[in-house]
Formats: sequence, C-alpha cells, structure tokens
Amino acid sequence: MRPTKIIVLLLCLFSLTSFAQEKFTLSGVVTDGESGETLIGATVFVTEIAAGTTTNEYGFYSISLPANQPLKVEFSYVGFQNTTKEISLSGNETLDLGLGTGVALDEVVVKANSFQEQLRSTEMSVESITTKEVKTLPSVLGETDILKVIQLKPGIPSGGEGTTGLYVRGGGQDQNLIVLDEAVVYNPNHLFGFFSTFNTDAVKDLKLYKGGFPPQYGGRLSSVIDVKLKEGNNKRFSGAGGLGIISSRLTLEGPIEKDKSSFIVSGRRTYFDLITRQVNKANEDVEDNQPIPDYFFYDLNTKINFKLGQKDHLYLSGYFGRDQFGFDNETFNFGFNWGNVTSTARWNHQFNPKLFSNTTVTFSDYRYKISNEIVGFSFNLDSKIRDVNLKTDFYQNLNSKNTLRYGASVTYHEFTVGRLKAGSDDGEISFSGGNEYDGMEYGIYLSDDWEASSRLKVNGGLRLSGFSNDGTFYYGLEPRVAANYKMTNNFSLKGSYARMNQYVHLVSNSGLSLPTDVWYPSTKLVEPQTSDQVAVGGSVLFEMLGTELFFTNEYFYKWLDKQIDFIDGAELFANDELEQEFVFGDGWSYGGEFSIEKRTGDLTGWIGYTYSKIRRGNFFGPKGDVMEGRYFAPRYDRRHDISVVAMYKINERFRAGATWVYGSGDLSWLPGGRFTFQDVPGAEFQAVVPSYGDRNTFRLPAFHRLDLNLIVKLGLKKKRENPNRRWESDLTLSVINAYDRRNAFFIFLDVEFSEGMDDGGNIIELPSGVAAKQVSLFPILPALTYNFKF
Amino acid sequence: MKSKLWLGFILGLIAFSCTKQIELPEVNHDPKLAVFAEIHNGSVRAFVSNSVLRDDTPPDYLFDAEVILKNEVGDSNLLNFESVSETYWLDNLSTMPGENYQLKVKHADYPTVSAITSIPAPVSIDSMEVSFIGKRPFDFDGNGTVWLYEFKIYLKEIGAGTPFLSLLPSYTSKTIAPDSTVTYSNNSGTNISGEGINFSSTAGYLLDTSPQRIIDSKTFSFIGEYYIFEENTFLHEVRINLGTVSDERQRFLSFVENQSFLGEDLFILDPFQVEGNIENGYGLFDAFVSDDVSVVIE
Repeated sequence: MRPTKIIVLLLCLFSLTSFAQEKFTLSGVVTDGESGETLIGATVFVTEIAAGTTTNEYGFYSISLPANQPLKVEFSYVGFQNTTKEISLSGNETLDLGLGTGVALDEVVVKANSFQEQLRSTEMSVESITTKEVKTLPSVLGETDILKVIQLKPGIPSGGEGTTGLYVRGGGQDQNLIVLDEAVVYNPNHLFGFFSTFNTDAVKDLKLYKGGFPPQYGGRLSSVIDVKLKEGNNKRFSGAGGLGIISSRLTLEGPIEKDKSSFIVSGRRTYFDLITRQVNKANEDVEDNQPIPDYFFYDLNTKINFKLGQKDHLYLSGYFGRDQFGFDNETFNFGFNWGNVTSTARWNHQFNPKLFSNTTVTFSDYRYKISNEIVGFSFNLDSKIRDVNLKTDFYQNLNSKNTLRYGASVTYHEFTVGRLKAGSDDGEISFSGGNEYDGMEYGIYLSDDWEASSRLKVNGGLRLSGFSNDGTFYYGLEPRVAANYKMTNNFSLKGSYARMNQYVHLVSNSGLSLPTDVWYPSTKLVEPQTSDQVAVGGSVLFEMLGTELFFTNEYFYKWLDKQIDFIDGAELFANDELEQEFVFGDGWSYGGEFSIEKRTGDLTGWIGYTYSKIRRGNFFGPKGDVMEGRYFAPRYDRRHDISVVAMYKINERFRAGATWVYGSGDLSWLPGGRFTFQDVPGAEFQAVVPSYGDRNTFRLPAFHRLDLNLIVKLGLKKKRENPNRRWESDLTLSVINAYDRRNAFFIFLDVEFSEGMDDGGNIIELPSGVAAKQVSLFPILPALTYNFKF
Repeated sequence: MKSKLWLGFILGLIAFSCTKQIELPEVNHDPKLAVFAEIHNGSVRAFVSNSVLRDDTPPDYLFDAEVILKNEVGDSNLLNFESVSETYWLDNLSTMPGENYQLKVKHADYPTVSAITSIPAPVSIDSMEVSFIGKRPFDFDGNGTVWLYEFKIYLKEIGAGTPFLSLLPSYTSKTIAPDSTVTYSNNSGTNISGEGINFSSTAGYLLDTSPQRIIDSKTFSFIGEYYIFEENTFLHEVRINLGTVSDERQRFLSFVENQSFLGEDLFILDPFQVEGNIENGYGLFDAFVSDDVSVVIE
C-alpha cells in the first residue's frame, strides 16, 4: 500500500475513533421536588449504556455520556417516584431535577433499583437509615432515636439496654467518628446514653460506615457516622412536632427567598423537671422530705442556606444541646451539666460540569462541669474538648471510568482535662489541678472510583494523616481500597481493606457512657491508636414467593494496636498525671454479619445476625500491667446479636412496627472470693475486700426484647374532604418490652449486715453475707405520642 | 459495676426499674491466706486471716498460723499470737534503715505465703507551725463551728526511698485549762487512753491523714479542722505523729478505699483487683518509721 493511502486511512480511523469517543458531561443537583432538600445518594442511571452514578453528600452528580446519542436517564431515590429524562448531549449540560413523591408522605416505599445501586457500588460495610423508618419503629418513651434504630443493623451492637454506646465490629465507643453537618460531636448522648442528641425531625440522612472507609474520613478506628441536617423547605413554610411523655419537639422551616434560600429551626426539651419542681414544692413542709433532683435536656438545631447563583451555595448550621442535673437547698447546691455545641459554615462551588468543591469551617465544643457549693466553700470540676476545623473536598469526574475525590483538612484541638478549682469563698483556702493541651490534626487524601470493566469497580485511595502536640509529631499513611465484582445482575462480591489512625482518645473507666469520660490527645507517652481491617462479602438480590429480597453477608477481621485502657484502681479524680494511669496494648476482633431485607410491599423490614469475637491484651503501662499482659474479652464482647425488624402498612389509617432483638449477655467482672482487711496495729480499721481474679469472666444472661408500635393517622376524613389541607397528625402508641422480659442492666453484689457486738459491748453492724442482685431497666413500658406536621 | 448514685437517679427519674436477687454460678476461687503486717518502732504486728468464696463470710482471724520473721542475715523469729488484739507480734527488734525482712506465714489449710519489705530511712521533724485560716459551719444546718488551721511540718531531711508521708491515726489533742475537763480525741473520735477520761462530743480535731508525696520541699502541709459545738476559750495541744508510707502501702490503701466507693463515686466505677505484696496470697507487709511533734493552739 502506498504511504499516502496509509496516512489517509490512519486519519480516517483517527477521526472515526475521536468521533466514537466524544463525550459530554451531564451534571446537576437532585432535590426533593416538594421541599427543595438535596437528595444524597440518589441514583442517576442510563440503561442504554449501563452506566450510572449517585449524587454526592451535597446532592450533586456528574456523569460522562456519549455525545449526540439519544439516551434515557433515570433518576431514582428511596421514597420518591422515578423520573426519566430523555436527552441527547451536544455539549456539557446541567440538569437539576426535583423528584416527586407521588405517594402518601409517610409511606415507606423503596424501589428495587436501590438494591441495584448497592450491587453496583464499591461501598461495603455501610448502613443507612431513613427518618421515615425511624418514625415507624417503636421507641423508648415515644422518643424516636435515629442512633437507636441504626443499632438494629448487623455489626452495630449497643452498649447495653437503654444506652446509645456503639461498639462497631469490636471497636470501643471512642472509636466512632460522629459528625453532624461535618462538625464532630464528641458525646452524642443525653441522660447517660438513654437518648441520642439527634432530633429525628431535623435529620435528613444518616450513614454509618463499619469498614471500607472512604479516604475522606479519618481520625477514628471503627466507624464513621455521618449525619446530615435538613436544609429547610425552600418552597413553602412548614413545620412538624410532637408531644410525648417526657419531651416535646417543634420544627419550623421555610423559604427566606423562594427556591433560593431557606431556614430550619428544630428544638426539643424534656419537661420532667417542671413536674418534679411542683412535687418538691408541694412536699417542702414534709418532715425528712428528700427532694427529687432537677433534670432536663434540650436540643436546638438551626440552619440557613443561600443559593448564590448557579454555581455557589452557602450553608450555615448550628447545634446546641445540654443536659442539666442538680439539686439545692439553703446551704447546699450541686450541679452537673454537660453538652455539645457545633457550628458549620459550608460553601459549595461548581467550577465546571466536571469539578465540584466543598469547603467547610466547623466548630465543636463538648464539655462537662460538676459544681458543688456549701456555705463558704465551693468545688468545681470540668473538662472540655474544643475543635476548629477547616477542610476542603473536590469531586472531579475525570472521565466515564474515573471519578476522583481529593481534599485536605486541618483541625485545631484544645483539651482541658480534669480542671479542678476548690476553696473557700474568701480565698484563704484554694487548690486547683488539671491539665490543658492543644494539638493540630492534619489530613490529606486522594481517591479514585475506577470502573475497570463492566463487572469490576474499584475505589482506591490513600490518606496521609498527622498530629502534632507540644513538640511531638505523629503521622501515618492510610491506604484504603474497596472493590466490587458483579458476578451477575443480581449477585456481586465485594472486598475492602482500610487502615485508620486515631489521634484523640476517650478515656473511660466504665462500660456506661458517662459525661465524665475524658477526651485526651496523643502525647509523647500516648501514641496514636491504629487499626487494619479487611472485609469480604457478597450481596444477592432474589425473588421468593413473588417477593424481592436482598441478602447481604460480610466477614471481617480487624487488628488493633496502641489501645488504651486504665490500670486497675486508676486514680481518675483531679489527677494531674493521668497518663501514668494508662496502659497500652493491642487486640483483634473478627466476625460475620448477615442480613436479609424486604423493601417493597406493605410488609417491609429486615433480619440481621452478627457473630463476633473480640480480645484485648498485652496491656502494660508506667504503673504496671493488666492481667500480666494476658488477653481478655472486653465487656462488650457479645457473641451473638439478632435483630428482626418489621414495618407493616395495615391500611391508610394504621401502620404498625415491631422489633425483636436478641443478644448474648455482656460480660461483667464479679469477684470470686473475699477477705478481711485489718489495718494493724490495733485492728482499728476493718473492711471486707473482694478478690476479682481475671477480668470479665462472667457473662450476664442473654438479652432479648420485643417492642411494638402502632401509628394511627388522624383527620383522614377531613383530608379527603379537603385535599389541600396541610395539617396532618397521628397518635403513636409504643410498647417497649411487650412480653416484660427483665433483662439485666447490670449485676451488683450487695453486702448484707447483721447485728453484732464489738469488744466494748457496743452493738455494731457486721457483714453477714453477700447477695447478688440484678437491676433491670424496663418493664413493659407503654408510651403515647401525638405527632403533627403542616 | 455502675455508679449507684447515678443509677439511682436514672432509675428514680424514670421510676421503671426493678431489682431482684439472683443466683450466680459457682466461680473458681482457691482460698488463700490474707496477711497484714507492719514493722514499726522495733515491733512487728501481723494479722492473719483467709479468703473465702464470694458468698461466704471471711473469718476475723486465724489463731493457728505459723508466722515467721527473718532478717537479712538469716535470723528468724516466730511471732506470738495474742488473743486480745487478735494479732501475731514480736517486740524488741533491732532494725536499721535499708535492712530487709521477710515474713512467712504457714497454715495447714492454705498455701504458704511470704513477703519482703525493707526498713525506710528515718523521718526527722524539725518543727511545726500552725496558722488560723477561717471558720465555717459544722453542718448544713449551720450548727456548730469548724475552725480551720493550716499546719506546716518542717522536716530536717528526707530519707531516700521515702516517697510518701502520712499523719498516723494516733494523733491526739487535748484541751488545756485549769479546773476543766481534759478532753482527748483522735481522728476517729474514740477514747484512746482508756484511763477513765470521758470522750467529749462537743469538740475535737479532724486532721487530713491523706499520704502526701514529699520530694523536694521538705514540708508536709495539711488543713486541720477543729470543731466545737459549745464555745470555749481553752488552749489546745495537738500532737502529730508523722510516718512513712511505702509505695506498696499507698497503693494498697487507696485501692481498698476506692473499692469501698464502688457504686457511689462517679470517678470510680469499674471494679479492680486490690493488689498487695503478699506472694501467693493477699495483703500487705511493710515497714514504716515515724516521728512526732506537738504544738499548742490558742
């Protein structure tokens, strides 16, 4: 062939190739058509080319599509009607879309393609929950709690009955990164863990990562709980609220400028203290009256957002929550309060159809304070942790096969540990203690979501994190990789590996989540904790008896290093050398999680099962060791965990929910023997001292409980007569522990006394025996709540 | 173990909990000897008992143990049992600072236990100063008066290896006045002399006996409270006995004290094993030295 012909042929081929490869980008924001709320994780799928994506945390999507080809783009999201748009791209286009519900607002309807998205996604070890599901399921004392409901998912056992402590895949409760609109919440508990700080009415989305952590997250070993607040209805003024047994709540939202800016304010407060104060007032003249202590908690969530043109969006949000406990009389005043404050300023900017950025400044503050005043003297103890964080994230649709994500963050931490001030009012006597620290935490990451083939998707990334404190600098590389191999349209296999570093630690001397748990930085002595976790699993979508079911199973193994615990008998109170009480060790955990879900039809729900085993050990520290460095099971080493969750739409008026949970009992440390201690000489002091032996060798009885819920919609007749009527209300009847199972909250040994005589002939009380007593928290517990929205 | 105080509040708050007695499964526990022994001022006193299963009541003491004290050069002595004090004792020991002693206790029914301790360097008090700080009511209802004094004990020297000093429980105070009732009282408020002196419940001293770590300052300071329910203007003489506290003793005593607060103190919630230095058993064997000083307060 002559050279010129070859050149012409090559040019033609090149032209054809270029023409065949020409692509344009379709991008935009997907919102709720009725309220304007952005939708996180909405699916954008093009059937003709079997390509798709999902909206990011800010509702933004970007997808590369062939040019000049008629395509049908389907937009879908849980609880919303699918919407299909026909397009043919002759250039980059922006398509913002508002999805409509088209169904009754409180109906939980999940379309099958959300299962398809799970089959396609590289994400694994992720659980999410909708606020609609939370409101359908039973709740303690009528207080819907999104953190409690997420504990019904496999791999997320709670710390115990009534608490929201999270022990994810064998990790401790300080190893969970909890962020509310990107600001860290250090203690998400009210009333010692009975309720969480998240007001369901204000929450838009909650996602919990148990493993396979995306590189944008760092700083904790075991889980990431990402909570997003609603932005506020930018189309019309609306509200919601409820009156319950122990608290009431109200949420108001609406446009500041329609379709451009909006606000939301959501508050909740208990009123038990208002009742107890009246009781105390009525009894104040009663002899030997013991007044009931005051207690209340409140939450306030606020948010406003502004659309500053097509490419910019500004959000400002804040959270304020506090628990207050106290009692006082004429000469004595005791107060104990704790709480979180967070605030977020966030700017979204779209550079072009392929590049989106989010820049955030957040502030977090958690503190507790104990104060005690008697005539002429006062005592104050407080601890706090305060963060200021700046971060920026970029999403870049590189091409049809690669989506990059990269960013950086820096956090300034301030710690006040055990600050004690006590003394006389006139200043003659005073003493103080405690320590203050500060530190800087850094992170930079890069990840690529790579569609290697039509079957194989890989998300690979690297995070570099660091921490500096008082001349000490730590850093670590954190590789992250997750892969999804689609065997068939209905069956996929997944695997992941993640390394995590944690530079801030919660030192707690109890299995109970207490506000006096102290956050502590990494220092010269206290090295960062690390974890390596591998997980493999698979998901299958199948049909049985005409019903679509989704089965997921995962197996994980986690190695933990530089774990922190306390030496036996640690001195916590106002200890300026708290580090001396630490011991450092390692551990591991492994397990398997299984779940089967049904999301369509009148009956929906899931069954989850978790098997896990956890060990900690090799603990040594400045003052000694724990169990000579031998390995032991931590308190939360619960072998089996089962949850059965069902939601049933009986008819238009009635909806029922039920949960049944079973768990192997937690471990406890009970003494095996005891001995008498006499402080010679003269045997003046005598005590009976228990001998405990190895840690956590006693397993509490298995825990199981059935909770039921019935929602009765009110005003349906009026609604039928006037379809434009906006007021909707319902009565929710919850019954917790429907078959009155007395689960062990904890067990203690009660010393029994009998009368005896000392050498001087005086009658004294002598210990005569020990009785084991079990405290149970909930008997059968009904609650009625009135809920409304408009 | 959870804090009973906070739990009581929670449970009271929601008024829904219940408590019931349960049977716990048998646990493995091999009873061992429990020994508490001290060498002080040339005397050794040892209290011997044994541990029992959790649900049983431990005996006050064992009278039929063999308690042997051995010094560095190998001299060993058998301690005598005294039924009045329920302890084993030996007097007239010639002890030297730094000298090691071993205590061995044998009993037919339990494994033999032993422990080693050494005699600490002497405590030498130079002087003591007292200064008045202020007053406050004795109780929440405003009854009585508590006079607060700061006591400062100046030491001539600190012996090597003496990290802690503590007021010993045998401090005394007495009212000095002509033709008045002489009052003796100590920290626990009981009659210590046994010589027909009546204990007065109208006044007394409460001194902070918490061990303090003495490193460089050579000063032992504490706040003393003198409480009265009837005003008087008598002089008071306060005699202080200051003694060494070994690391092991300090740790052991704080463990025992904290154990007693389990379920009541927000900062002491989890159980823990009380550790001593008795090998193959429970308890503590240590030695301490002391010195005393007195001051008259107007």
